[in-house]
Amino acid sequence: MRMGKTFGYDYTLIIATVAILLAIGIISLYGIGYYHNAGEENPSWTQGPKHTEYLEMMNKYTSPTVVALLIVLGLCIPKRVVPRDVLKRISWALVGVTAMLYFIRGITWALGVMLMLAIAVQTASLVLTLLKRGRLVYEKEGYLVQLGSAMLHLGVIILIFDVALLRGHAQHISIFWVAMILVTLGMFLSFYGRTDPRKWLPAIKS
Amino acid sequence: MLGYNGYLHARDVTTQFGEPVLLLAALASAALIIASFFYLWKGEKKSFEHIKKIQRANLALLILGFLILVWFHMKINQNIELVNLMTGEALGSYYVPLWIESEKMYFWVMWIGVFVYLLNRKGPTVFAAVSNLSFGLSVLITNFYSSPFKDPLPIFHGEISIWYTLIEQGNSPGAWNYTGQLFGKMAYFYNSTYMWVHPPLLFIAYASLVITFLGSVFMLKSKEISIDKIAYDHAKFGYILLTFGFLIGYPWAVTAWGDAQWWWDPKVSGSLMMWMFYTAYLHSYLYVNRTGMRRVTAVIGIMCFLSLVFTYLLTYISAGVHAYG
Repeated sequence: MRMGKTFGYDYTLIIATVAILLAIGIISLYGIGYYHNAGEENPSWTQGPKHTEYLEMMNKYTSPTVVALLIVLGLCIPKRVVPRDVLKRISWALVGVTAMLYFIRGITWALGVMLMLAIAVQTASLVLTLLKRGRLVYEKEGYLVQLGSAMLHLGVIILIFDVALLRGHAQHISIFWVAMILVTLGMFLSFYGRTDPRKWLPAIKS
Repeated sequence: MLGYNGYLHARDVTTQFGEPVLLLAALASAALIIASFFYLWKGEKKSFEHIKKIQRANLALLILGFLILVWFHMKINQNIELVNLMTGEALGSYYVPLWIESEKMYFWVMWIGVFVYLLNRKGPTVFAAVSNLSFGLSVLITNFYSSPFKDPLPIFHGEISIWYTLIEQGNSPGAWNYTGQLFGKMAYFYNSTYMWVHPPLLFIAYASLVITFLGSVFMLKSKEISIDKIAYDHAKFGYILLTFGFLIGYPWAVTAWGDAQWWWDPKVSGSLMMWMFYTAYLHSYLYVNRTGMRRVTAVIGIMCFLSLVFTYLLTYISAGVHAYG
């Protein structure tokens, strides 16, 4: 995909991310309306098969947006440590493998493989960031901010993987806590990693 | 009768002392609204000092009211103990969280007061005056529509009163069954660690995000970078608490509600929608200096707040596992 001069790679990715996030929000809003209306028609509808159909419908509607989000994440965060051309190729390969698996083994397999590959890419990105390897721009963003961003996005993908595919697994909650620590710590570093810690201390009068 | 009279007395005292405190806060809010309008009209820096003083007094009154609620909840803990009516075995005392039922709105508004207080310390601005005005309005709304002192904890009170009535009537099988229900709710709701962490984090986040909303409205009109920055800073702080608050609820939800039943519940969907919108806001802010992005970011910021209010109200207007009543 060729980016226009006025847009640029990073900006286009951000616009795509915002659009996908808003789309998930709107699907959720649709779900609220559906749930509410079904409850108005039959207050005990959650006990019957219609509720299962509703859950399946919502999962079906959100799956493509989750896949799109994973692709954008795969293109966005590792771009700091991996050349863009390589990333684009990896992403297209990811889409191809996922599409193939979807037709052969179904959505669960496709999503599972995609999530595992995304975790691998984000973990590599985090390790490279940690080791200060690759094309990092410390002067512009700061080491802690980039580290936080890598942790946050890895945490989000692990979270999706855990909640979407590992429910009922013995390690489900343990993996959830790992993801939660990554997300929270990553978020804190991303937002406040550039802040001078002296700002938080009370002013000392000389 | 197993501490019921002591509890009823504490409830009366809470109403007796709490209502005048909230009324005073409402009067202070009316004064704050007038003072804010006056500042917006005249723009005199000196008059902002009055706003600051009234706002401080207002916040102090809300904190005093909160302390009365703390006292009431301590009295509940000291007076009411669930007992196995067959064996006489103590099942436990209540540790009722301070942000349930009609107390939710109060807690949220008190924290809006904290953020507005911190904003006032930065100096007199039109934005600060509008924030004070909004805070004043929210206190008035709380006083008229969600006072925690008028009828303290009505649902909890109803549950406990039924239990005591059953005991008094000597209706042992009914009381026995009802004790089981109450014990379940005590263990998984009132006394749950989650209820002491998840809601307060969300309400503090909501309070911070009120400032983001006001900043987004300003962003549509003015091009003051300082206000954008205030909105963004409050969004970052609120977003961390919001995310942590949501996530901390997950293991509890799995334990208490099982797996499938609560998925895509209206409140869960609403929370997801709100989180997605705030994530979109934070991402779009990264390019706020690009042509047209300031307006887009502002519109998303306003959408975020509308989704927040909608999600808050879902507890009351829609069915589902989070529904009240």
